[in-house]
Amino acid sequence: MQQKKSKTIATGILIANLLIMLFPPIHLGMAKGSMPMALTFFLGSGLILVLSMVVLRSLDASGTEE
Amino acid sequence: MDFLIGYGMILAFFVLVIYVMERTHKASDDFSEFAVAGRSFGSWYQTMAFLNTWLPGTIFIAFAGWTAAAGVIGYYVLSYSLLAVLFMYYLADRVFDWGKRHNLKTQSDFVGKRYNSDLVRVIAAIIGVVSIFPWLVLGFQSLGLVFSFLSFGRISPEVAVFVGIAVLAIRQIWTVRMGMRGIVISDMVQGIIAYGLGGLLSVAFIVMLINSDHGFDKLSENFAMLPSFGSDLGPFYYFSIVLTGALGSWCWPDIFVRLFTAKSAQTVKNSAFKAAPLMFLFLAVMLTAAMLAGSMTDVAAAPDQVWFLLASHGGPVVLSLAGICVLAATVGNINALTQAIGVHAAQDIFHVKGGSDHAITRTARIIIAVTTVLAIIGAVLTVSMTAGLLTLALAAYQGIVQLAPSLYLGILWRRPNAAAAALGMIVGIVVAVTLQFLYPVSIPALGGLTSGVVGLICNTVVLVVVSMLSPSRKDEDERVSALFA
Repeated sequence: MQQKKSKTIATGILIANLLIMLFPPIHLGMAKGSMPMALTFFLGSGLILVLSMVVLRSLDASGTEE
Repeated sequence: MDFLIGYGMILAFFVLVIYVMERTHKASDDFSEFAVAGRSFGSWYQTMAFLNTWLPGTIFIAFAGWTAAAGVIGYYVLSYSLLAVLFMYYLADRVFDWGKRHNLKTQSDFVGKRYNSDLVRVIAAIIGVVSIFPWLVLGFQSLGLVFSFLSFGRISPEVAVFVGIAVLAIRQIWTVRMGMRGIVISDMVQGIIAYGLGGLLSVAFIVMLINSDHGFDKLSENFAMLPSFGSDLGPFYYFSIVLTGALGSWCWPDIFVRLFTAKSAQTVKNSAFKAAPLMFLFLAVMLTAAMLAGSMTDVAAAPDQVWFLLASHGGPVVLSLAGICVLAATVGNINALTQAIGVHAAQDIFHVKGGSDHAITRTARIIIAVTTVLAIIGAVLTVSMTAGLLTLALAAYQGIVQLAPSLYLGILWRRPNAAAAALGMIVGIVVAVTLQFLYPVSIPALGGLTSGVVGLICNTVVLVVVSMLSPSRKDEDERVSALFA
């Protein structure tokens, strides 16, 4: 049950990041002439992805074992 | 004196890298050791090896130059690079598991095993090797810029190219001799220098630029715009280049093999966790420094030289350090490219029907040596054609991404078969190459989609349709089920 929930969250994270980075209305709307808005999109979307990796790590049952 | 500082630092850098490699050298004729270093590396080594392969020296030149010339669109490399890291996490389990279970050593080996087909394996290897070669020539050319700037005018740019090539050719001796183990270990040293030192220098450049009246307010409004409706490039151009970059990431043979050199699937995942923040921090500060420098007159005149022009304001030591960053990134990338070409060509083309470890390793070493010579000749013949070659290298991206449907759908879905994969790749390549000649940048009639994306769509449609229409074979279904088990 827990594993299924983790898998669903992981899939959701992948889809959310793909949408944020690739969906044209988002980047075209954010980068249309205002530098603060454009940087918010590029750095913000990057930061969201980095934080997503932190969430994925917390979901990882094996933790840091290699 | 300046010349001695510049070339002295280059010498010190190479001595350090070779010393570390010699200290960790393991003599072996085992092809697994040569190709994937016995699957023995932990996550920090994996992280640095990935970064050093993913971010070549041209990041400081062409990518920084595009950001200095055009603004935020240059940040696309940040977006697709981070997506590549995210994909690493999702690919880790299955790719590492299949790789270890079946002793797979290359990407072509992987798709060959998935589809149980030598044809698919050879097509994938040819696409990979051909697509990589222009990047190798470009890497050798990048060296010329480093050796030119660090000579402080003592050596002409033309001669500097030959000096750089000669030095790297000597350095290649260790790549040929030590294989993947030497590459991964040297990647650690080179990665720390390229992205650690490079990141620190970028922060210093940002502070310098803001304090010298080159802040964000000095940039034109166009710098904050992506191509949209009514632009020459079209509204889907940015989408296309990020999609191609992200999906193409794990299609590069030199990148994919990183999934095989780790100790375990968890090591691969852990290296993704580590790579994401490091990549984000480095690219964010380096691209921001480059963009801010776009308001400087000398940078606007020669944007590709932005990294060196910024560093030159700090004197000969800072310029030399900046050059070493580019050199460290370039050397790591060239090593990975030559290794990938050698291993793929030897194992998946020349010895596709099999061979002894000793014979395949020897063939790989010969191919690496021959490829290095050919790339050097290519670099010498195209010394003054960097822009044209970069176009060819970017076109290669449109080709390499045609491996994506067979690779990703083959991992996620049991239905695709060898005929579907081979036909999909061939159709994708033909469409992409044809459109690339007709529309080298983007296709206006399709809203700015690139040739690679259109090829990708055709490729995927063919793969799915042929897979669905192919009659099911019991033995093949059982084989694929066992692979996915």
